[in-house]
Formats: sequence, C-alpha cells, structure tokens
Amino acid sequence: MPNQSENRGHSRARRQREKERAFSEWLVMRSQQGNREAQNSLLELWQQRFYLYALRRLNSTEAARDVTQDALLSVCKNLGKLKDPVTFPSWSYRIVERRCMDWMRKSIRERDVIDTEKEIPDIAAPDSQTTEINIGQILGALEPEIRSLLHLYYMDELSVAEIATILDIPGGTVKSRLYYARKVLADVIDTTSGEQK
Amino acid sequence: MSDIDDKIRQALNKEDEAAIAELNEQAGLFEMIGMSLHGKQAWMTYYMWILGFVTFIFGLYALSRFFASDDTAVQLAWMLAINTCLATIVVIKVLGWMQMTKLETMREIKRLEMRLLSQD
Repeated sequence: MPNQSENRGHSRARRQREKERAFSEWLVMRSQQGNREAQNSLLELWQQRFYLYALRRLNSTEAARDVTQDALLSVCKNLGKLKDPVTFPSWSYRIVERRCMDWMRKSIRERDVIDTEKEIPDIAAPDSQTTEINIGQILGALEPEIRSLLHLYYMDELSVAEIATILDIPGGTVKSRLYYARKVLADVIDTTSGEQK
Repeated sequence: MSDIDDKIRQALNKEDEAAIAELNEQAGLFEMIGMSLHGKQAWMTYYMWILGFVTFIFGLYALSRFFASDDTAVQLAWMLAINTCLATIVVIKVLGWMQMTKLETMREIKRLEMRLLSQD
C-alpha cells in the first residue's frame, strides 16, 4: 500500500501540472499575440519535458538533444497556426514524436537495423539476491515506445485521447499498452516478492 | 494497480532527475567521440579509425623490420615507411578532431538559431 505522504506528493504534483497547463495556455495566447517573452517562457517551460520524452523514445542523449532542438524550432515557427491553446501539449508533443520518428527512420537507414515488431520484450525478473526491486531497471527494459507512453501518462498527466493523438494510434491501443506495461511490472514484482519470501 | 502506478511514477521521476542533471553538462571528450560515430558523416569517422589502425599496425611492422635489418639502406627505407605512417596518423587525428569539433559547432549553431528565432 502506498503511504499517505506519497499520495499527497502525487496530488501536489498533479495540481502543479494542472497549473502549468493553464499557464502554458496563457503563454501560448500571449505568444500568438506576438509577445516574445511569453514565447521564451513557454519554451523554457516545455523544453525539458520534450527532452525527457525524446530521451525515453530514442535512448540517446545526443539524439534527444538534436530532436528537442528541432522540435522547439518547429514549435516556434508554427505556434501561430495553433488554433486552440488548450491543445498545446498534445500538438507540441506530436511535433516531438514526429521528429523522433524521423530520427529513427534515418537511424535505421544508417545502421541498417529494421525493427518493425512492436511487441513488448520479455523482461527478466531481477536477481533474487537483491532485497529491493529496482523498478527503474524493469522500466529500462521496456520498449522505448512504451516508456514514452508511460512518460506522457504518468509524468505529463495527459489523457488517453491526447496520448492517442500524439502517438497517432487508437485510444484503445493506448489503454491496452498501459495495461500491459502495468501488468508486466506487477508480474515481475510479484514473482520477485514470492522468491524473496 | 495504484501501488504499481506510484512505483512507476517514482521510477520515472528518478530517471528524469538523473537525465536533467546530465542535461546541462557540456559535451565531454567521450561524448564528442560518440557524436562523431553517429549521423550522416559517421562513415568518415569509421573510415578514419580503420585507416588509423591499419597505419599503426603497418608502422609497428616497419619498426620491427627497421630493428631487424643490418643494412643501412634497408633501415633508411623502413625509417621512411615509419615516418610516413607517423605523418598519416597525425593527419588522421587532426581530421578526426576537426570532425568532432565541427559536429559540436553545428549543435551550437542550432542552439543559437533557436535563441535568435525566439528573440527577433
């Protein structure tokens, strides 16, 4: 059972996200009116999240930096075309996702590695000798697409519909991938806990 | 599932904190080398590494032949080969450094482009 302080921490984080989203909407509107300071603030607010998303998607700090820069440039150039400021998170993440896809396509061509399978890989249970389950390691073993989906859902608190728009997949697929990721993690934790008992 | 949700959230948070700490660091030597092994011009880096290795091996062989020979004319010939190998390795290293700094400069240009775009 999660303790109360963790729950409080999560609620605080959620409230913080909601505030940031509202603030972003206001910054988008101000930016569209030509306010450069608002645009800078908007980019500062979001660039770290774009980087973290790209990092999870691409598993490379260098690629993530390049992709984030390209995505931010694209956001700057096209911000005026955004009709509804409320949709800024999904619209901007969609740009980052497209840049990530472009990078992966280029990367596949360069390395001649084609990985079209979208299955979640088998995750080995952590060493039974360890007393603490390192969930970070288990997450690290997940496919980048699932990791980025978890990032959008848990860290950015985006809705299933928004994630579906960003990843260009049906909402049902988002739900099933979330369910599957949770199930994989729960199974590994249960197995490890059983072994330790 | 809420327990799992919290664990996922905590793990992602830890990952984020580590990544953010790394984000502001300047590109180190190994990072710069890593950068030169990716991208459109990666073939050039690989080509230079392979050429450098082959030249180095040939240089060692020429050195061993230089010490094995008693004939001065032959020794001079091997010395010339060693000299050529050394010069080639130096040129390769210089080109390699240029390639690495070029990639870092391109990255900085992109950053500047973004800053200018947001300021004009």
